[in-house]
Amino acid sequence: MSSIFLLKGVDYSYYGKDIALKNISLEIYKSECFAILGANGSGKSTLLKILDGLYFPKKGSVVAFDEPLSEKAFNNEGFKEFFRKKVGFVFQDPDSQLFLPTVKDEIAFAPMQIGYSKDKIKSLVSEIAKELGIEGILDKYPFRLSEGEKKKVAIASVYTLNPDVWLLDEPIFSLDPKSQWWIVDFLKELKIKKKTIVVATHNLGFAKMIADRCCVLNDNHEIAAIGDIESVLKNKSLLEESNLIHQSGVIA
Amino acid sequence: MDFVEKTLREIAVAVEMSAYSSEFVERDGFLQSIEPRLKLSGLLGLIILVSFAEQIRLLIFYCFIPIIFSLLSKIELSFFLKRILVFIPIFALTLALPAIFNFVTPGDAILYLTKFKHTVFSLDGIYITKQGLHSALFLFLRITLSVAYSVLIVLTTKWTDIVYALRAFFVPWVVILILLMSYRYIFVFIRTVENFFIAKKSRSIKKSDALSGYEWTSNRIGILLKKSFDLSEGVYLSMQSKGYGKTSIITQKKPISVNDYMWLFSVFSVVALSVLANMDIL
Repeated sequence: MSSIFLLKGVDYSYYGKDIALKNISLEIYKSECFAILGANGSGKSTLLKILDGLYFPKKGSVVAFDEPLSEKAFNNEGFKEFFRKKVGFVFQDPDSQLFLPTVKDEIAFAPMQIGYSKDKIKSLVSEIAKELGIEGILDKYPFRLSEGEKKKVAIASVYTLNPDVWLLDEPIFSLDPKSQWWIVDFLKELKIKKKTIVVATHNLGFAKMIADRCCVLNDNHEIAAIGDIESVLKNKSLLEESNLIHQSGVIA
Repeated sequence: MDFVEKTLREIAVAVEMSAYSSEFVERDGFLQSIEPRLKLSGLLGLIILVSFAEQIRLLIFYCFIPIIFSLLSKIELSFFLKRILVFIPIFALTLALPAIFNFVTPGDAILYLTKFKHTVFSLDGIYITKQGLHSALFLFLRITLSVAYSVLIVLTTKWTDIVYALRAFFVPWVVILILLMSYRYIFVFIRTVENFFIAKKSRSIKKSDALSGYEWTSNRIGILLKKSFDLSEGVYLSMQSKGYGKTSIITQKKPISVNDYMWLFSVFSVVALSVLANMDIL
Protein backbone atom coordinates (compact mmCIF):
# COMPACT_ATOMS: atom_id res chain seq x y z
CA MET A 1 0.00 0.00 0.00
CA SER A 2 1.38 3.40 -0.90
CA SER A 3 1.56 6.07 1.73
CA ILE A 4 -0.30 9.38 1.46
CA PHE A 5 0.73 10.96 4.77
CA LEU A 6 3.69 10.11 6.95
CA LEU A 7 4.12 11.90 10.28
CA LYS A 8 7.18 11.45 12.49
CA GLY A 9 7.48 12.85 16.02
CA VAL A 10 5.13 15.77 15.37
CA ASP A 11 4.64 18.32 18.17
CA TYR A 12 2.31 21.30 17.95
CA SER A 13 1.41 23.97 20.45
CA TYR A 14 -0.67 27.14 20.31
CA TYR A 15 1.10 30.37 21.27
CA GLY A 16 4.11 28.29 22.26
CA LYS A 17 2.50 27.07 25.49
CA ASP A 18 -0.85 25.31 24.93
CA ILE A 19 0.19 21.85 23.79
CA ALA A 20 -2.13 20.40 21.16
CA LEU A 21 -0.11 17.44 19.86
CA LYS A 22 2.83 15.57 21.33
CA ASN A 23 5.15 13.17 19.51
CA ILE A 24 2.65 12.08 16.86
CA SER A 25 3.89 9.43 14.44
CA LEU A 26 1.53 7.75 12.02
CA GLU A 27 1.12 6.73 8.43
CA ILE A 28 -2.05 6.99 6.35
CA TYR A 29 -2.32 4.85 3.24
CA LYS A 30 -3.93 5.40 -0.11
CA SER A 31 -7.65 4.49 -0.40
CA GLU A 32 -8.09 3.73 3.29
CA CYS A 33 -10.54 5.32 5.68
CA PHE A 34 -8.67 6.41 8.78
CA ALA A 35 -10.39 7.70 11.93
CA ILE A 36 -8.72 10.01 14.43
CA LEU A 37 -10.51 9.29 17.70
CA GLY A 38 -10.25 11.46 20.78
CA ALA A 39 -12.18 13.38 23.39
CA ASN A 40 -12.84 17.12 23.13
CA GLY A 41 -9.59 19.09 23.18
CA SER A 42 -7.37 16.07 22.49
CA GLY A 43 -5.95 17.63 19.31
CA LYS A 44 -7.98 15.93 16.53
CA SER A 45 -8.77 19.15 14.65
CA THR A 46 -5.18 20.37 14.96
CA LEU A 47 -3.95 17.09 13.51
CA LEU A 48 -6.31 17.45 10.53
CA LYS A 49 -5.09 21.01 9.97
CA ILE A 50 -1.51 19.75 9.96
CA LEU A 51 -2.46 17.09 7.40
CA ASP A 52 -4.03 19.81 5.24
CA GLY A 53 -0.90 21.98 5.39
CA LEU A 54 -2.70 24.73 7.26
CA TYR A 55 -0.55 24.43 10.38
CA PHE A 56 3.07 23.39 10.40
CA PRO A 57 4.54 21.39 13.29
CA LYS A 58 6.98 22.99 15.72
CA LYS A 59 8.87 19.72 15.85
CA GLY A 60 8.91 16.56 13.73
CA SER A 61 8.15 16.05 10.06
CA VAL A 62 5.14 15.63 7.83
CA VAL A 63 5.38 14.09 4.39
CA ALA A 64 2.47 14.08 1.94
CA PHE A 65 2.58 12.45 -1.48
CA ASP A 66 6.31 11.87 -0.87
CA GLU A 67 6.92 15.60 -0.47
CA PRO A 68 7.68 17.30 2.85
CA LEU A 69 4.81 19.58 3.98
CA SER A 70 6.28 22.89 5.03
CA GLU A 71 5.66 26.60 4.57
CA LYS A 72 8.46 26.58 2.00
CA ALA A 73 6.70 23.85 0.01
CA PHE A 74 3.50 25.93 -0.11
CA ASN A 75 5.43 28.95 -1.39
CA ASN A 76 5.85 26.92 -4.57
CA GLU A 77 2.65 27.70 -6.55
CA GLY A 78 2.91 24.42 -8.47
CA PHE A 79 2.96 22.31 -5.32
CA LYS A 80 0.27 24.42 -3.69
CA GLU A 81 -2.10 23.88 -6.61
CA PHE A 82 -1.28 20.17 -6.77
CA PHE A 83 -1.89 19.72 -3.03
CA ARG A 84 -5.09 21.81 -2.88
CA LYS A 85 -6.52 19.82 -5.79
CA LYS A 86 -5.57 16.52 -4.15
CA VAL A 87 -6.74 17.24 -0.59
CA GLY A 88 -10.13 18.61 0.49
CA PHE A 89 -11.02 19.63 4.04
CA VAL A 90 -14.55 19.75 5.46
CA PHE A 91 -14.44 21.88 8.62
CA GLN A 92 -16.45 21.11 11.74
CA ASP A 93 -18.07 24.56 11.80
CA PRO A 94 -19.81 25.27 8.48
CA ASP A 95 -19.86 28.97 9.36
CA SER A 96 -16.07 28.98 9.04
CA GLN A 97 -16.15 27.10 5.80
CA LEU A 98 -19.00 28.91 4.09
CA PHE A 99 -17.68 32.45 3.90
CA LEU A 100 -19.42 33.72 0.78
CA PRO A 101 -22.93 35.15 0.52
CA THR A 102 -24.63 32.51 -1.61
CA VAL A 103 -24.42 28.74 -1.95
CA LYS A 104 -23.54 29.11 -5.65
CA ASP A 105 -20.58 31.40 -4.87
CA GLU A 106 -19.39 29.00 -2.24
CA ILE A 107 -19.36 25.97 -4.52
CA ALA A 108 -17.68 27.98 -7.30
CA PHE A 109 -14.91 29.37 -5.09
CA ALA A 110 -12.35 26.53 -5.22
CA PRO A 111 -12.58 25.90 -9.00
CA MET A 112 -12.16 29.66 -9.54
CA GLN A 113 -8.96 29.62 -7.52
CA ILE A 114 -7.67 26.83 -9.70
CA GLY A 115 -8.54 28.91 -12.77
CA TYR A 116 -11.22 26.78 -14.44
CA SER A 117 -13.15 28.47 -17.26
CA LYS A 118 -16.46 30.15 -16.44
CA ASP A 119 -18.43 27.63 -18.49
CA LYS A 120 -16.73 24.72 -16.79
CA ILE A 121 -17.42 26.22 -13.36
CA LYS A 122 -21.08 26.81 -14.23
CA SER A 123 -21.64 23.25 -15.40
CA LEU A 124 -19.61 21.88 -12.47
CA VAL A 125 -21.71 23.81 -9.93
CA SER A 126 -25.02 22.56 -11.34
CA GLU A 127 -23.68 19.01 -11.73
CA ILE A 128 -22.44 18.83 -8.11
CA ALA A 129 -25.60 20.51 -6.79
CA LYS A 130 -27.75 17.97 -8.60
CA GLU A 131 -25.68 15.05 -7.37
CA LEU A 132 -25.86 16.22 -3.76
CA GLY A 133 -29.52 17.25 -3.99
CA ILE A 134 -28.95 20.94 -3.26
CA GLU A 135 -29.94 22.42 -6.62
CA GLY A 136 -32.94 24.11 -4.98
CA ILE A 137 -30.80 26.18 -2.60
CA LEU A 138 -28.09 27.44 -4.96
CA ASP A 139 -29.23 31.07 -4.71
CA LYS A 140 -29.88 30.94 -0.97
CA TYR A 141 -27.80 32.70 1.65
CA PRO A 142 -25.94 30.29 3.99
CA PHE A 143 -27.45 31.96 7.09
CA ARG A 144 -30.87 30.80 5.94
CA LEU A 145 -29.83 27.13 5.70
CA SER A 146 -30.34 24.36 8.24
CA GLU A 147 -27.26 22.73 9.78
CA GLY A 148 -27.75 19.68 7.54
CA GLU A 149 -27.94 21.85 4.42
CA LYS A 150 -24.87 23.81 5.51
CA LYS A 151 -22.93 20.58 5.88
CA LYS A 152 -24.02 19.45 2.41
CA VAL A 153 -22.90 22.79 0.95
CA ALA A 154 -19.57 22.53 2.80
CA ILE A 155 -19.10 19.08 1.25
CA ALA A 156 -20.16 20.37 -2.17
CA SER A 157 -17.61 23.19 -1.92
CA VAL A 158 -14.89 20.57 -1.55
CA TYR A 159 -16.42 18.06 -3.99
CA THR A 160 -16.03 20.49 -6.93
CA LEU A 161 -12.33 19.67 -7.11
CA ASN A 162 -13.01 15.94 -6.68
CA PRO A 163 -10.04 15.50 -4.34
CA ASP A 164 -8.38 12.13 -3.84
CA VAL A 165 -8.02 12.76 -0.12
CA TRP A 166 -10.89 13.90 2.12
CA LEU A 167 -10.27 15.30 5.59
CA LEU A 168 -13.45 15.65 7.64
CA ASP A 169 -13.64 17.20 11.10
CA GLU A 170 -16.55 15.83 13.18
CA PRO A 171 -18.72 15.44 10.06
CA ILE A 172 -21.88 14.25 11.84
CA PHE A 173 -21.62 16.49 14.88
CA SER A 174 -24.85 18.42 15.66
CA LEU A 175 -26.75 16.91 12.72
CA ASP A 176 -30.15 15.25 12.78
CA PRO A 177 -30.32 11.48 12.03
CA LYS A 178 -31.35 12.00 8.40
CA SER A 179 -28.35 14.26 7.74
CA GLN A 180 -26.05 11.91 9.69
CA TRP A 181 -27.07 9.00 7.48
CA TRP A 182 -26.64 11.13 4.39
CA ILE A 183 -23.02 11.76 5.45
CA VAL A 184 -22.46 8.06 6.16
CA ASP A 185 -23.81 7.11 2.72
CA PHE A 186 -21.73 9.82 1.08
CA LEU A 187 -18.55 8.57 2.76
CA LYS A 188 -19.35 4.99 1.77
CA GLU A 189 -19.63 6.16 -1.83
CA LEU A 190 -16.24 7.86 -1.53
CA LYS A 191 -14.84 4.58 -0.25
CA ILE A 192 -16.25 2.75 -3.27
CA LYS A 193 -14.49 5.34 -5.44
CA LYS A 194 -11.23 4.43 -3.65
CA LYS A 195 -10.76 7.86 -2.09
CA THR A 196 -8.57 8.29 0.96
CA ILE A 197 -10.64 9.50 3.92
CA VAL A 198 -9.43 10.85 7.26
CA VAL A 199 -12.18 11.55 9.79
CA ALA A 200 -11.78 13.17 13.20
CA THR A 201 -14.58 12.11 15.54
CA HIS A 202 -15.44 11.08 19.06
CA ASN A 203 -18.44 9.10 17.85
CA LEU A 204 -17.29 5.49 18.04
CA GLY A 205 -20.38 4.07 16.34
CA PHE A 206 -19.82 6.31 13.35
CA ALA A 207 -16.11 5.46 13.23
CA LYS A 208 -16.89 1.74 13.34
CA MET A 209 -19.30 2.15 10.44
CA ILE A 210 -16.84 3.76 8.04
CA ALA A 211 -13.22 3.43 9.20
CA ASP A 212 -10.70 0.71 8.34
CA ARG A 213 -8.03 1.88 10.79
CA CYS A 214 -7.85 4.45 13.55
CA CYS A 215 -5.68 6.12 16.13
CA VAL A 216 -6.72 7.29 19.59
CA LEU A 217 -5.49 10.60 20.97
CA ASN A 218 -5.47 10.75 24.74
CA ASP A 219 -5.77 13.69 27.14
CA ASN A 220 -1.99 14.18 26.97
CA HIS A 221 -2.35 14.84 23.22
CA GLU A 222 -0.37 11.70 22.40
CA ILE A 223 -1.32 8.66 20.37
CA ALA A 224 -2.54 6.08 22.86
CA ALA A 225 -3.24 3.40 20.26
CA ILE A 226 -3.17 2.85 16.54
CA GLY A 227 -4.46 -0.10 14.54
CA ASP A 228 -7.44 -1.59 12.78
CA ILE A 229 -10.73 -0.22 14.01
CA GLU A 230 -12.14 -3.49 15.37
CA SER A 231 -9.21 -4.22 17.63
CA VAL A 232 -8.91 -0.65 18.95
CA LEU A 233 -12.61 -0.44 19.75
CA LYS A 234 -12.42 -3.73 21.65
CA ASN A 235 -9.96 -2.20 24.13
CA LYS A 236 -12.50 -0.77 26.59
CA SER A 237 -9.98 0.32 29.23
CA LEU A 238 -8.07 2.32 26.63
CA LEU A 239 -11.27 3.99 25.40
CA GLU A 240 -12.29 4.77 28.96
CA GLU A 241 -8.88 6.25 29.81
CA SER A 242 -9.09 8.38 26.67
CA ASN A 243 -12.55 9.67 27.63
CA LEU A 244 -14.19 8.10 24.60
CA ILE A 245 -16.50 5.93 26.66
CA HIS A 246 -17.74 6.21 30.21
CA GLN A 247 -18.42 3.47 32.73
CA SER A 248 -22.07 4.57 32.72
CA GLY A 249 -22.16 4.05 28.97
CA VAL A 250 -22.36 6.36 25.96
CA ILE A 251 -25.44 8.47 25.34
CA ALA A 252 -26.38 7.83 21.72
CA MET B 1 -38.96 47.77 29.09
CA ASP B 2 -35.28 47.37 30.05
CA PHE B 3 -32.33 47.50 27.70
CA VAL B 4 -32.36 43.73 27.07
CA GLU B 5 -35.85 43.78 25.66
CA LYS B 6 -35.19 46.96 23.70
CA THR B 7 -32.07 45.45 22.15
CA LEU B 8 -33.87 42.19 21.40
CA ARG B 9 -36.62 44.07 19.68
CA GLU B 10 -34.14 46.11 17.62
CA ILE B 11 -32.29 42.96 16.52
CA ALA B 12 -35.56 41.30 15.53
CA VAL B 13 -36.57 44.41 13.57
CA ALA B 14 -33.20 44.52 11.77
CA VAL B 15 -33.43 40.86 10.76
CA GLU B 16 -37.08 41.23 9.76
CA MET B 17 -36.31 44.31 7.65
CA SER B 18 -33.54 42.47 5.89
CA ALA B 19 -35.78 39.47 5.25
CA TYR B 20 -38.65 41.65 4.07
CA SER B 21 -36.40 43.61 1.72
CA SER B 22 -35.12 40.42 0.15
CA GLU B 23 -38.75 39.46 -0.49
CA PHE B 24 -39.03 42.39 -2.95
CA VAL B 25 -35.89 41.23 -4.75
CA GLU B 26 -37.61 37.92 -5.52
CA ARG B 27 -40.64 39.60 -7.11
CA ASP B 28 -41.12 39.51 -10.85
CA GLY B 29 -40.92 43.28 -11.40
CA PHE B 30 -39.30 45.63 -13.91
CA LEU B 31 -36.26 46.80 -11.95
CA GLN B 32 -35.66 43.30 -10.60
CA SER B 33 -35.15 42.12 -14.18
CA ILE B 34 -32.53 44.73 -15.04
CA GLU B 35 -28.87 43.73 -15.28
CA PRO B 36 -27.37 44.95 -11.94
CA ARG B 37 -24.53 46.98 -13.46
CA LEU B 38 -26.92 48.78 -15.83
CA LYS B 39 -29.38 49.36 -13.02
CA LEU B 40 -26.75 50.71 -10.64
CA SER B 41 -25.24 52.96 -13.33
CA GLY B 42 -28.69 54.24 -14.38
CA LEU B 43 -29.89 54.99 -10.87
CA LEU B 44 -26.58 56.64 -9.96
CA GLY B 45 -26.95 58.74 -13.12
CA LEU B 46 -30.42 59.80 -11.99
CA ILE B 47 -29.08 60.72 -8.54
CA ILE B 48 -26.41 62.90 -10.17
CA LEU B 49 -29.07 64.47 -12.40
CA VAL B 50 -31.16 65.33 -9.34
CA SER B 51 -28.13 66.92 -7.66
CA PHE B 52 -27.57 69.21 -10.65
CA ALA B 53 -31.23 70.15 -11.27
CA GLU B 54 -31.69 73.89 -10.99
CA GLN B 55 -35.40 74.17 -11.71
CA ILE B 56 -38.08 73.37 -9.21
CA ARG B 57 -40.44 72.07 -11.94
CA LEU B 58 -37.73 69.55 -12.93
CA LEU B 59 -37.37 68.32 -9.35
CA ILE B 60 -41.13 67.91 -9.09
CA PHE B 61 -41.08 65.98 -12.39
CA TYR B 62 -38.31 63.73 -10.98
CA CYS B 63 -40.54 62.90 -8.01
CA PHE B 64 -42.80 60.85 -10.27
CA ILE B 65 -39.95 58.69 -11.61
CA PRO B 66 -39.21 56.61 -8.47
CA ILE B 67 -42.96 56.21 -7.87
CA ILE B 68 -43.47 54.86 -11.40
CA PHE B 69 -40.49 52.51 -11.06
CA SER B 70 -41.65 51.28 -7.66
CA LEU B 71 -45.08 50.45 -9.10
CA LEU B 72 -43.50 48.71 -12.11
CA SER B 73 -41.30 46.76 -9.72
CA LYS B 74 -44.28 45.55 -7.69
CA ILE B 75 -43.28 47.39 -4.52
CA GLU B 76 -46.25 48.55 -2.49
CA LEU B 77 -46.37 52.35 -2.71
CA SER B 78 -47.21 52.74 0.99
CA PHE B 79 -44.15 50.68 1.99
CA PHE B 80 -41.93 52.55 -0.47
CA LEU B 81 -43.05 56.00 0.67
CA LYS B 82 -42.79 55.03 4.32
CA ARG B 83 -39.25 53.78 3.73
CA ILE B 84 -38.28 57.08 2.08
CA LEU B 85 -40.22 59.61 4.05
CA VAL B 86 -39.96 58.45 7.63
CA PHE B 87 -36.41 59.31 8.70
CA ILE B 88 -34.01 60.81 6.21
CA PRO B 89 -36.20 63.60 4.78
CA ILE B 90 -37.23 64.54 8.32
CA PHE B 91 -33.55 64.88 9.05
CA ALA B 92 -33.13 66.85 5.80
CA LEU B 93 -36.06 69.08 6.76
CA THR B 94 -34.42 69.80 10.10
CA LEU B 95 -31.23 70.74 8.28
CA ALA B 96 -33.03 72.84 5.71
CA LEU B 97 -35.36 74.59 8.18
CA PRO B 98 -32.93 77.34 9.33
CA ALA B 99 -32.28 78.19 5.68
CA ILE B 100 -35.81 79.51 5.22
CA PHE B 101 -35.24 82.41 7.66
CA ASN B 102 -33.77 85.76 6.78
CA PHE B 103 -30.84 85.42 9.23
CA VAL B 104 -29.49 82.52 7.10
CA THR B 105 -30.83 83.40 3.67
CA PRO B 106 -31.58 87.09 3.26
CA GLY B 107 -34.22 87.99 0.68
CA ASP B 108 -37.79 88.99 0.06
CA ALA B 109 -40.04 88.54 3.08
CA ILE B 110 -42.99 86.15 2.72
CA LEU B 111 -44.06 85.81 6.33
CA TYR B 112 -42.92 87.78 9.39
CA LEU B 113 -42.63 85.71 12.58
CA THR B 114 -41.57 88.68 14.69
CA LYS B 115 -40.69 92.36 14.17
CA PHE B 116 -38.03 94.06 16.31
CA LYS B 117 -38.51 97.58 17.62
CA HIS B 118 -34.85 98.30 16.83
CA THR B 119 -32.58 96.60 14.31
CA VAL B 120 -30.44 93.85 15.83
CA PHE B 121 -27.39 92.84 13.80
CA SER B 122 -28.97 94.76 10.92
CA LEU B 123 -32.15 92.64 11.14
CA ASP B 124 -35.50 94.33 11.63
CA GLY B 125 -37.22 91.05 12.50
CA ILE B 126 -37.33 87.34 11.83
CA TYR B 127 -39.15 86.29 8.72
CA ILE B 128 -39.30 83.58 6.08
CA THR B 129 -37.74 84.61 2.81
CA LYS B 130 -38.72 83.60 -0.69
CA GLN B 131 -35.10 82.74 -1.52
CA GLY B 132 -34.71 80.76 1.72
CA LEU B 133 -37.86 78.77 1.09
CA HIS B 134 -36.64 78.08 -2.41
CA SER B 135 -33.24 76.76 -1.33
CA ALA B 136 -34.76 74.71 1.54
CA LEU B 137 -37.22 73.13 -0.86
CA PHE B 138 -34.36 72.35 -3.25
CA LEU B 139 -32.32 70.71 -0.50
CA PHE B 140 -35.29 68.72 0.77
CA LEU B 141 -36.31 67.47 -2.68
CA ARG B 142 -32.76 66.60 -3.71
CA ILE B 143 -32.15 64.55 -0.56
CA THR B 144 -35.56 62.85 -0.76
CA LEU B 145 -35.10 61.93 -4.41
CA SER B 146 -31.56 60.65 -3.86
CA VAL B 147 -32.86 58.51 -1.00
CA ALA B 148 -35.75 57.29 -3.17
CA TYR B 149 -33.40 56.09 -5.94
CA SER B 150 -31.07 54.48 -3.40
CA VAL B 151 -34.02 52.67 -1.79
CA LEU B 152 -35.06 51.42 -5.23
CA ILE B 153 -31.57 49.94 -5.74
CA VAL B 154 -31.63 48.27 -2.33
CA LEU B 155 -35.18 46.91 -2.62
CA THR B 156 -34.84 45.49 -6.11
CA THR B 157 -31.27 44.20 -6.12
CA LYS B 158 -29.61 41.46 -4.15
CA TRP B 159 -26.85 42.83 -1.97
CA THR B 160 -24.43 40.44 -3.66
CA ASP B 161 -25.42 41.74 -7.11
CA ILE B 162 -24.89 45.32 -5.95
CA VAL B 163 -21.41 44.38 -4.77
CA TYR B 164 -20.61 42.54 -8.03
CA ALA B 165 -21.88 45.57 -9.96
CA LEU B 166 -19.26 47.71 -8.22
CA ARG B 167 -16.75 45.97 -10.44
CA ALA B 168 -18.14 48.08 -13.30
CA PHE B 169 -16.82 51.09 -11.36
CA PHE B 170 -13.33 49.55 -11.14
CA VAL B 171 -13.58 48.63 -7.45
CA PRO B 172 -10.76 46.09 -6.78
CA TRP B 173 -11.70 42.42 -6.38
CA VAL B 174 -10.24 42.21 -2.92
CA VAL B 175 -12.61 44.99 -1.74
CA ILE B 176 -15.55 43.17 -3.36
CA LEU B 177 -14.58 39.91 -1.64
CA ILE B 178 -14.32 41.68 1.74
CA LEU B 179 -17.76 43.28 1.24
CA LEU B 180 -19.30 39.93 0.29
CA MET B 181 -17.79 38.21 3.31
CA SER B 182 -18.87 41.05 5.61
CA TYR B 183 -22.45 40.60 4.46
CA ARG B 184 -22.20 36.87 5.11
CA TYR B 185 -20.96 37.30 8.68
CA ILE B 186 -23.16 40.19 9.75
CA PHE B 187 -25.99 37.67 10.08
CA VAL B 188 -23.86 35.18 12.00
CA PHE B 189 -23.02 37.91 14.52
CA ILE B 190 -26.60 39.17 14.69
CA ARG B 191 -27.68 35.65 15.66
CA THR B 192 -24.89 35.45 18.24
CA VAL B 193 -25.88 38.78 19.80
CA GLU B 194 -29.52 37.76 19.76
CA ASN B 195 -28.61 34.55 21.60
CA PHE B 196 -26.63 36.54 24.21
CA PHE B 197 -29.69 38.62 24.98
CA ILE B 198 -32.12 35.71 24.93
CA ALA B 199 -29.86 33.77 27.33
CA LYS B 200 -29.72 36.77 29.67
CA LYS B 201 -33.45 37.28 29.50
CA SER B 202 -34.12 33.61 30.28
CA ARG B 203 -32.20 33.94 33.55
CA SER B 204 -33.20 37.48 34.53
CA ILE B 205 -35.64 37.65 37.41
CA LYS B 206 -35.28 41.22 38.62
CA LYS B 207 -35.05 44.22 36.38
CA SER B 208 -31.36 45.06 35.96
CA ASP B 209 -30.09 48.55 36.75
CA ALA B 210 -28.32 50.62 34.12
CA LEU B 211 -24.81 50.15 35.54
CA SER B 212 -24.96 46.34 35.64
CA GLY B 213 -26.53 46.46 32.19
CA TYR B 214 -23.56 48.43 30.85
CA GLU B 215 -21.11 46.07 32.57
CA TRP B 216 -22.81 43.05 31.05
CA THR B 217 -22.94 44.66 27.61
CA SER B 218 -19.22 45.54 27.64
CA ASN B 219 -18.43 41.99 28.70
CA ARG B 220 -20.50 40.59 25.81
CA ILE B 221 -18.81 42.94 23.36
CA GLY B 222 -15.49 41.44 24.47
CA ILE B 223 -16.83 37.91 24.02
CA LEU B 224 -18.16 38.81 20.57
CA LEU B 225 -14.77 40.19 19.60
CA LYS B 226 -13.10 36.98 20.76
CA LYS B 227 -15.62 34.92 18.80
CA SER B 228 -15.03 37.04 15.72
CA PHE B 229 -11.26 36.47 16.00
CA ASP B 230 -11.80 32.71 16.29
CA LEU B 231 -14.15 32.75 13.32
CA SER B 232 -11.76 34.83 11.23
CA GLU B 233 -9.03 32.27 11.94
CA GLY B 234 -11.37 29.48 10.78
CA VAL B 235 -12.34 31.41 7.66
CA TYR B 236 -8.72 32.14 6.81
CA LEU B 237 -7.80 28.46 7.14
CA SER B 238 -10.81 27.46 5.07
CA MET B 239 -9.81 29.91 2.33
CA GLN B 240 -6.28 28.53 2.38
CA SER B 241 -7.63 25.00 2.21
CA LYS B 242 -9.66 25.87 -0.87
CA GLY B 243 -6.56 27.23 -2.56
CA TYR B 244 -7.13 30.96 -2.06
CA GLY B 245 -4.22 32.77 -3.62
CA LYS B 246 -3.53 35.41 -6.15
CA THR B 247 -6.92 35.28 -7.82
CA SER B 248 -10.42 35.38 -6.46
CA ILE B 249 -12.45 36.28 -9.48
CA ILE B 250 -16.13 35.82 -8.95
CA THR B 251 -18.45 36.95 -11.70
CA GLN B 252 -22.16 36.69 -12.13
CA LYS B 253 -23.25 38.21 -15.40
CA LYS B 254 -26.85 38.33 -16.40
CA PRO B 255 -27.66 38.29 -20.13
CA ILE B 256 -28.94 41.60 -21.54
CA SER B 257 -32.72 41.53 -22.10
CA VAL B 258 -35.39 43.73 -23.73
CA ASN B 259 -36.09 45.22 -20.30
CA ASP B 260 -32.47 46.36 -20.08
CA TYR B 261 -32.85 48.30 -23.35
CA MET B 262 -36.11 49.78 -22.06
CA TRP B 263 -34.36 50.79 -18.87
CA LEU B 264 -31.51 52.48 -20.77
CA PHE B 265 -34.05 54.23 -23.00
CA SER B 266 -35.96 55.51 -19.95
CA VAL B 267 -32.81 56.85 -18.28
CA PHE B 268 -31.59 58.55 -21.48
CA SER B 269 -35.05 60.04 -22.04
CA VAL B 270 -35.04 61.58 -18.56
CA VAL B 271 -31.54 62.94 -19.13
CA ALA B 272 -32.53 64.36 -22.54
CA LEU B 273 -35.67 65.99 -21.13
CA SER B 274 -33.63 67.53 -18.33
CA VAL B 275 -31.08 68.94 -20.76
CA LEU B 276 -33.85 70.41 -22.94
CA ALA B 277 -35.58 71.89 -19.89
CA ASN B 278 -32.33 73.43 -18.69
CA MET B 279 -31.84 74.96 -22.14
CA ASP B 280 -35.37 76.39 -21.83
CA ILE B 281 -36.42 74.47 -24.95
CA LEU B 282 -39.15 72.70 -22.98
